[in-house]
Parts: sequence; C-alpha cells; structure tokens
Amino acid sequence: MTPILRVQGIVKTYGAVTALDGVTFDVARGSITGLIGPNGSGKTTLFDCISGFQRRDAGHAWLRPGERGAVELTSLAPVRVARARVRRTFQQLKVFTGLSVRDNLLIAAQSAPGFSAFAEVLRVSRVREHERAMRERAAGMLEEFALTQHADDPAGSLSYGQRKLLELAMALMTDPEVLLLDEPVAGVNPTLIGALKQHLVQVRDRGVTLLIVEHNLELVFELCERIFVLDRGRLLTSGAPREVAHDPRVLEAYLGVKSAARPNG
Amino acid sequence: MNRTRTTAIVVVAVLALPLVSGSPYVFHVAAMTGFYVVLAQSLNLVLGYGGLLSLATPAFFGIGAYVAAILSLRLGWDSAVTFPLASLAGVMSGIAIGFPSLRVSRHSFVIVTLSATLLLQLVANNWEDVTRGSLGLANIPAPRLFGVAVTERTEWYLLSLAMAGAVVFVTSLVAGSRFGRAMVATRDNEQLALAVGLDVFATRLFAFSLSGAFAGLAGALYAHFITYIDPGVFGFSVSETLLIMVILGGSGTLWGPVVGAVVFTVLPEVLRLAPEMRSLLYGVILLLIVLYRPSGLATWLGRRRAAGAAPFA
Repeated sequence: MTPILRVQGIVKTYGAVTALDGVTFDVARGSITGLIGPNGSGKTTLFDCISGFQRRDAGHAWLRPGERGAVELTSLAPVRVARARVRRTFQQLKVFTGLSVRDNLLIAAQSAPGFSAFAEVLRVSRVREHERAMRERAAGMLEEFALTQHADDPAGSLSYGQRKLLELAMALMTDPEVLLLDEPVAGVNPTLIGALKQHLVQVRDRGVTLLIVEHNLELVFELCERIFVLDRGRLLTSGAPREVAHDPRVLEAYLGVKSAARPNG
Repeated sequence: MNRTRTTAIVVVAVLALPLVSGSPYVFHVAAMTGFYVVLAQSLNLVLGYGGLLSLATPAFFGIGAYVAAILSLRLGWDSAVTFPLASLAGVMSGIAIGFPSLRVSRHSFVIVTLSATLLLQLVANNWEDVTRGSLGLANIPAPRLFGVAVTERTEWYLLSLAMAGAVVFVTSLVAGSRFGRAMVATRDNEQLALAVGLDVFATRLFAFSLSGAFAGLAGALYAHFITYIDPGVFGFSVSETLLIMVILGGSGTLWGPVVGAVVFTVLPEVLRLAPEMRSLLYGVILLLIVLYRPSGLATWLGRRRAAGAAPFA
C-alpha cells in the first residue's frame, strides 16, 4: 500500500480539553477511507488540522509521505493546502449563495497559482484561456451532477440535496489528489444518498483519494476499503469494514454499552 | 426595452441639466455629485462587493486632498501629475491601513479603519509645518491639466463627470472580472473561499487599495474645487454620507452607489426650499427608502445586478 496521506501523532488541545491525542494513520492512495467515531471524538478537528484551519499542538500530516514531492500539510495555511490539491468540505454545508451555480464551480477552480489580481481584472490572455478551459470543465461537471438547468440560478436557491451535489462538484473542479469529505450525505434523502454514493465511487475510480467522515455507518461499511475509528481523540481501532463492524469496542464507543452486535446505520 | 429607453432619457436629461440651466449653483452641485459618485464607488468596492464595513474612505479622501493641495501650492506641479500621485497616495494608505486591519475579524476591522482615519486627522491637525494644522490650506489654485487651467464651472462639471464615468467603468471591469467574482466569494463565505484556495487576504487588500485610489482621486478633485481644505476632510461625517449613498443606493451593485450619490447630494439641496423642515423631511425620506426599497434605490431600475453575476466574457 502506498500512502498518499500520513497523519502522525497529531495532538490538539483546547485549554484543558484534549481533542486529539496523538492520532496516527496512513491513507492509501486511490482508496476510499472512512473516519468514524461518536460525536466529539475529534474527526472534524482532525480535518481542520490537516487542512490548515486549526493549528495542531504537535504531530504532522504529510501529503505523499516519503516521496520527493512530499508536502507537510500541517505547516501550511488553508489556501496553500487547497493549492497542494488537498480539498475539503465542511460538516455544515457551505456554498457561495450569492454566486450562480456555474460561478461556484468556476471560483473553485480559479485559484491557479501565478495569477495576480491585476491579471484577473485586465483579463490577460492566460486568464482568458484558463477561464475558457474551466468553463468547459464546469459545463461537464454540471452535466454530470444534473445541475445544468440550474447553472445560472443563485446557489442559494438550490435545494439542500442539490447543494450537496454542488459542494462535491466544486471540490472536484481542480482535480484534487485528496478529498476530505465531512459528512457528505448528512441530511440527504435515500435516493440522493444512492446518487452521491455512485459519484463517490466514480471519483475514486478517477484516482482521487477520499477520506470520509460520516455518521451513516451503512454507507461507510459499504463504500470504504479501510476504516479508522476515533474515540475521545484517540485512534480506537482500524481495519477493513468487516473487522471494524465486529469490533465490540466500536459499538461500545458509539452506544456506551458493551455488545458484540454489528453497528448498523 | 421601453424601460431601458426611459432610463437612458432620464440619465441624459440629468447629465444635460447643468449645461442647460447654466446656473453656477447647479454646476456646483453637479460637480460635487460627480465627486460623490467616485467616493461612493470607493466604498462600494469594499463594502458592497467585499462585505467589509470600512470607515477608512475619509482617510484616503483626506490624504488625496492634502497631497494634491500641497504639491500644487508648494511646488506648483501640474494636475496631470498631482492627480495620479494623490490616487497613488490613496493606494499606499490602502495598503498601509489594509495590512493590519484585514488580518483581524470583521468587527475589529471597523474599529481599526476608524482609528486609522482619526489618527490621520490628528496628524493633519498637528503637523503644522506641512498642513498648517487647523488653519488649513487656503487658496488652492485651479487645477492645470497639461498646462490648461480648469476654471470655468462648465469645465469643472465635465471634469467631474469624466472622472465619475472613468471610475464607474473601472468598477464595472473589476466587478465583471474573475477578481470581482473572488471578492463576492470572500464576502459570502470566508472559510469556503479559503478551502477552495482563494487568497482572501490578497483579494481584500487589492480591493481596499483600489478603493484608496478612487477616494484619493476624489480628494484631489475636491481640494482644487473648493480651494480650501482643513483636517475636517478626515471627518466621520464623510463616512456617514457615503454609507447612506451606498446602502440606500444599492450596495454591491454597479449603479446603486451612482444613484445613491446623485439622490443624496441633490436631495439636501432641494430641501433647502423648506429650511425649517429640512432635517425632518430628510429623515422621513431615508426611512421611507429603507422601508420600501430595502435593497437600495437601484432596484427601481429593475435590473439590479447581483454582485458577481456580471458575466465574464
């Protein structure tokens, strides 16, 4: 297994509360990996530390560890992490409500390095070319996510489910290497969950590595090749879905009772 | 189409009014309106498109006014040089004030920009060797553009109109560009903007500096037009007037601040007809606009341009 993301001994405290207590694991390149755990176990905090939104107290997160082009993500600001092609979504769904659906996709692909504000305003030929290419890409993305007919509507007018699709499409606009998805199907109806699931598999098949935080365990067990379980800031266990599903510690962490039954949904 | 034609006729009529009337008073108000259009767009860039409540516009305005006045009074420089320098001074103060203030929260930003403006007012009051303190700088000569003096009211009106037109044009370029889209994105959701790799700080700093350029230019025009400036140019009342113009005109739209600048420069003059009732009527009109046109007067045009929705072609 070649790791594309290495989380190494990450510690994050808020005053007396230890949110992450030396979490360590590797995410395999081209995999769908699950990160589960009860509320408050530190999943979102870990995403925040990897993506630069929170400064960790100790530890590292590496992109392409051990390779020549390895990047230490934990030392970068969020903008740099995004430009290193590690994209994230948020637990609380976020789109640019004041921009059109198409512009949401375009803005997600706008941050090509080397462009200055002057170049953007004066529309130098390089900017024009980039914009044209991105418009074509956005059109394809709109088609793929069944949003074409809403392309010029403000994103704020979309339904919750459509916004979830837009959020994923935005994350894909720049060919990310790693996608950190925070509850991609939370609050979505069963039909759309099916569609999102298909999209996630397709994204993985394109070579994107997915690390998913999700409370819908049925989806996690079905989709993920490997699952890491966090509890109170520590890595409780990890393994293939079957192993994790039968680990009594997982159910205990989720329900607070000792049982050997399989957690389901 | 009909509506567009009506709007066009109204615009041409309003623009031609001073020329037709020939009254010095009307020319004066018209020239001031042009300056306010420039200032309102300056604030609109930061507040409307960027979503940041900046109280630094008078700082840029005052700096521009003092730079142009001092250079022409002391050194007798041509306005073709001093106007761009006043604008550049606005950019530099935009960078200087923006660097610390854009790193703090949106709430603190308001306070930092206000403090910077008040600080500059203190400097203008106390650096007497240069600014003559509270005595102010008087007898600022008429601007000379490439040696040709702008003295006639008509010339002033046309200069002010040209500057306002240029600023509106630049704003439309910026708002319709990918940079404009980025500004709206940072206004909508800062966290998401960072997560998609937008440099929020750089985007805002650029908008803030451009805002400085506009206001610096307005300051230079104002100083030459009124021929006298004192530290009052840094006053909070400038911000107050501009906020009314931008918000009630239509914040984050191209034409809203223009409409706001025209209406709220002309309105107080019209209300002079009823001197005793002036303040009361002004207040009532403000309330009525807030009640019936909460998104701004520009919605009356029926083509309110959603910020950032302008197509990038």
